[in-house]
Amino acid sequence: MDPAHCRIFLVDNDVRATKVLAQMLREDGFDVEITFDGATAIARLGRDPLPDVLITNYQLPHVDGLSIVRFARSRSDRLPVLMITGYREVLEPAAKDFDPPIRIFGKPIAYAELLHELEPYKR
Amino acid sequence: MFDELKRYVRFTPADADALAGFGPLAEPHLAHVVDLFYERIREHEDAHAVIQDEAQLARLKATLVGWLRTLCSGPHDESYFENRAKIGRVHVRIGLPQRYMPIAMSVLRVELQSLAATLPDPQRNAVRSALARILDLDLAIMLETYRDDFVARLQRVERLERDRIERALARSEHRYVSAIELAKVLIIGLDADGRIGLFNREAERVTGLARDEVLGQPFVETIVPEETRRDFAARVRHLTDDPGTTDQVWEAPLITRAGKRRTVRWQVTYAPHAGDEDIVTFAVGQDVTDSNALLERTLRNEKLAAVGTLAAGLAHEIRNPLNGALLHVTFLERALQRSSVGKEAHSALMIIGDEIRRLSALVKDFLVFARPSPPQIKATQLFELCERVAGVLSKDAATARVTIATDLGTSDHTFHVDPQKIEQALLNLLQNAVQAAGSNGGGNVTLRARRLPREIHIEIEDDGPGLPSPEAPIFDAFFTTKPQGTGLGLAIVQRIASDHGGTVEVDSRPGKTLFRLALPLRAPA
Repeated sequence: MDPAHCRIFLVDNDVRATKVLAQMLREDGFDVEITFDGATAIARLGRDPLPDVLITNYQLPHVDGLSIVRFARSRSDRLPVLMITGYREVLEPAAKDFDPPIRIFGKPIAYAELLHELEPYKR
Repeated sequence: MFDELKRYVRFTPADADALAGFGPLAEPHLAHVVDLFYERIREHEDAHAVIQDEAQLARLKATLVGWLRTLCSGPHDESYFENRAKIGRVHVRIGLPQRYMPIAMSVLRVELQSLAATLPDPQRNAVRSALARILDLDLAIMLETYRDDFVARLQRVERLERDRIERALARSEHRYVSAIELAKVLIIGLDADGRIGLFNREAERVTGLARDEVLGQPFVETIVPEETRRDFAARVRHLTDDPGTTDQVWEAPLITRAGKRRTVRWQVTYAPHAGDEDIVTFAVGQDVTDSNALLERTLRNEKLAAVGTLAAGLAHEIRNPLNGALLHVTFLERALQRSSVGKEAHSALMIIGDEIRRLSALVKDFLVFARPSPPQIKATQLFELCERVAGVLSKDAATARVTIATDLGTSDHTFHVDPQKIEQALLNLLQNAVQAAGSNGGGNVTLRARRLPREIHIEIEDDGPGLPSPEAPIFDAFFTTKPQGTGLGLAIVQRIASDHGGTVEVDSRPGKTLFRLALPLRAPA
């Protein structure tokens, strides 16, 4: 793993979509680590090194995305977080109190917009 | 009358002569008789109560002495009768009960008869009969005054009773008139030929026709629209012809003076009355146009809510495969860009991407439409809201060569709405307007806002080609004239308007289409 790269931790239970998203992000110069359920994600976030950016789905097996975000922020309170969801209407009010704010992408996500959002974290 | 009584009692001139002879004999005893009389009178409480003081008693005694004197002396003529009647009326006036008259009279009778008993035969018998007759006459006359008084009182009571009944009747009539006039139902009375004989205020209000215009006019022809007249007339005829049915209830349209139709639920009752030829049938109607519309809206909303719950779950689940599909399309696009495959393959992929995005927009609109969240009402500045909406679409407008002008009046207003939802409604309307105006290669759109006494009107006008037809159900879900439209934009606008207790109206002709969103200053929470 090239330490110069921005490390993204991507959590989504839709395996095929997650894999293709990860592949594109890698092509665009990011280090991407993926996991497909909430429990594994929490376990990973308990270890160092922490990622530079967390991207997580909202609805996940075992533990939901917001719990993952809270756990991650407890370890790194300024950690940039992006969430992707098919339930934007539900998630937006639930996620509005985070600081720094969480950027939310509704499904289907536009890859170009996501990439644009991640641009500042590239090293 | 006195003469008739005299005849009846057989009081003769011989009797008068006998009394005239008795008079001087009785004279020294009269004061004593009168004293005895009043002694007896005062033994009784009620009678005693009539006497107020000694002076009055002295007057009464003098009168009685005079009375006894004329009893004997006569003359027993009309004025005698008048005098007795007068004394009788005094007794009536002071409230002496009638039953004391014969009793008091008998006191006098006994005393006078015992005086007469001292006379020698045959004068004694003549005087006794004459006394009996004249005392009967006097008693009869004085009792007559009681009868007169009784009749007068009876007449007064009758008059009062009549007045009371008349007043009660007038009151009762007034009540019935008020009940009919104030009732919020149409009440129309018809004669045997179906002509209007009664037309209440609500009937005037709903039909727009004045009472004096319709009285005497045939009901069916005046109020029922042509195509339902036969049915209506047949139903009324059925009532009058068939004694088994007394009333019928049905809904039928009526036509107003302005030519508008209202739906009325009629209850028509055949109620002939022997004393009233003018009205034999009563048609009582309730204007159910608005409540029917409300019911329809409620049913539609309920159906939408049921469909919405089901569909919302589905819509959310559609987003996951859409996400996978779009990411793979993006991946393929990037791969194709790097390779040397032809333009056609590339554009095919672009189309798939566009279709996925369209499906995604449909899901989003559908969720807004079918499962709207309740409005979050808060104080909202009108200018800021309008300017924000115009700002959001400025880029689209520029691309379509459309100018958006805002005409917001001179002073800003605060109104209470859900700003996000109103913004959404205005965006939908403004987007339509920009697309319409831009369809001829450019045009103008005006966003106008006005404060009315209790409402805010926001109008969006464009100079595009207008609606395809005035009957097009543009507010219905899934009705669209655009190849890329979801058919939910205006349905959402209407839903947002009605959730705020407002309305949305359209007026369209080629070159000028105006949508007006009317919102109450304070939306119901």
